[in-house]
Parts: sequence; C-alpha cells; structure tokens
Amino acid sequence: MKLRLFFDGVREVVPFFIGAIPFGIAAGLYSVEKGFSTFDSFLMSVFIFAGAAQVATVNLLTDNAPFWIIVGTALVINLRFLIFSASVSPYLTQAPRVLRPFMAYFMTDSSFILTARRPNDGVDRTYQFLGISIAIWIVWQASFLIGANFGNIIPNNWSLDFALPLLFIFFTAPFLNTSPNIVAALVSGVGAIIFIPLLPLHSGMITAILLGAIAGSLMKKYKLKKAVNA
Amino acid sequence: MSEHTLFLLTIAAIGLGTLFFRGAFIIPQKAHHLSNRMESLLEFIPVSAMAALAFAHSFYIKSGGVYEISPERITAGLIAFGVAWFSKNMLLTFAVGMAAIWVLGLLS
Repeated sequence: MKLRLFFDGVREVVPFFIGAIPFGIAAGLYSVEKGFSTFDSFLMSVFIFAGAAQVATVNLLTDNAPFWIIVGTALVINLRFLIFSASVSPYLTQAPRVLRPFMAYFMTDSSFILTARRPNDGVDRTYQFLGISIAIWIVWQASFLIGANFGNIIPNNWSLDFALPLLFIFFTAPFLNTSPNIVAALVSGVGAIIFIPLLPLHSGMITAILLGAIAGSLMKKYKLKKAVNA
Repeated sequence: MSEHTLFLLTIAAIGLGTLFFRGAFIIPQKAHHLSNRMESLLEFIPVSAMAALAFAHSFYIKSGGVYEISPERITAGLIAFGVAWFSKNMLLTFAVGMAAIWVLGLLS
C-alpha cells in the first residue's frame, strides 16, 4: 500500500521532469562554467537542492561576496519554502516522525504544488509526497550532472528553459475558477513582474506571493460578507 | 581558513537554513494551530505561487544578471495559457508553447 502510494507520487510528478531537466542541465553547466569542479558543484546541489538559490550562490561565490551576503541571499530566495512548509503540513499529519526530516529536505516547488492543490480530505499523503519529492530529486541531480559534464553541446537557441514557465502556466489555469483565486493570481502575477527586478536579494517573488495571497483572502472575505448581507 | 573550507561552510549554512525553512512546519509532529486569518491566507498561497512563477518566467528573460522583457515569451505564454485553459492537456500545452517560442524566435 505504501509502495503503491509512493509510485503514484512518482507517476504524478513525471510531467514536471519537462521543466526540471533543462533547468538542472542549465544549472550544472553554469556552475562548471563559473569555475567550480563537478564534485563541488554537485555538493552544492545536494546541500542546497534549490535551483535559483544554487545559481545565485555560484554567482556570489564567483564575485567573492562576503559569507553573510551569500548565505543571506540564498536564504531569502528560499524563504518561499517556509510558506510551502506551512501549506503542505496539514496534508502530512500522519507521517512517521523518522521520515519527517527527509520529507522536509526533499520538498520542492513541485511537491508543494502537487500536494497543496488537493482538497485536504484527511487522506495520508506521506508516501505520495515522498514519491514526488524523491523522483524530482533524482531527476534534478542527474540533470545537473549531465549539464556539468555535457551541457555545452546544447544550442542556446533551443529555449529549453521556457519549459518551466509552461508547466507553471498549465498548473495555474485550473485554479482560475473562482473570483478570489483569479484575484490572487492576477495580483501575484503582476506583483512578480513589478517586484522581481525591483527588490533586492530576490525578495520580489516572496513579496508577490504574499500580496497575491492577501488579495485572494480579502476577496473571499468580501464575497462572504456580500452573501451574508444579500 | 582555506577557500575550500569557506566554500564548504557557506553551502552547509545555506543547506541548514533551507532545511529549517522546509521543515519548520513539517518536522514537528505536534499539529500546529494556525489562526483563521493565517489559514485563509495559506489557502491562496498555491495559486499565488504558481501565478507568480508563471508570470515572472514568461515575462522576463534574465541575461547577465539583468531582467529583459521578452515579447516572444509573453506571446508564447498567452498562447500556452489558452491551450491549457481549453484543452486541460499538459503535453499539448507544452508542445504548442515550445512551438510558439521557436516560431516567434525565428521571426524576431
């Protein structure tokens, strides 16, 4: 039963490989091109396991930025995991204590999206979550190593990095079926466009997400009030 | 301290900090009780996160640390959204989106 749920998770995350593979290859190639050995690059990928933060870390290490700037920047980029952790934890209340640190380490944007998009119906999502997360970890690390060793043979004009936004577009579309969700998506999306280039230390993304969530929440409150007063 | 030791300490610090964020609500076995306001906010985090990622990655291309607006990506993203909305088919969305970006790239 647990194994079946685990492989259900693996099957569910397969479409995300379309985005993870090119991104992983690009991140591996970037790290090696900046002068890091394949081994050190891979160590970074295993320790951090977050593409945007890895790329930013490579950038800042190459620029000889101070320790606290490098660590601070990477952690601000990864701050979204704190919100994701709060969002998915209600789905994982039945997880055994011994598995929880591993579940935490392996959590990514994809395991968050695939878990949190479901209604919280009390079903134990532990093994499904692990299947999703471990599968994406394996694909990410393998792609990263391929990129580090062979990435320079892929032509730049293939635009393979566009695969990732296509995935996010596909997963956003079905959510846009209620006005609070539409408001949340629009505010967050426009916020991302405005704040990402504007705010320092990659804090634009987290700002946009929080603004979107607040807007959606306010819209829901307004609709409830209107329904009560009607 | 050698450069390599500093490198190892740096990635270890980032790794531990990121693990703290990831595990803050997952690792504690005791169920955390959030206020109604916080739960209402969390309800909209998934759609906000996906929309922010979709918009940002479709609108800009990052080149040498600078964000450049990409009309090709915006157009291809809108086409892909339409396909996703009507077809609800991931492979079709991906195929049409990639075809659109390649064609628009050739035309520009």
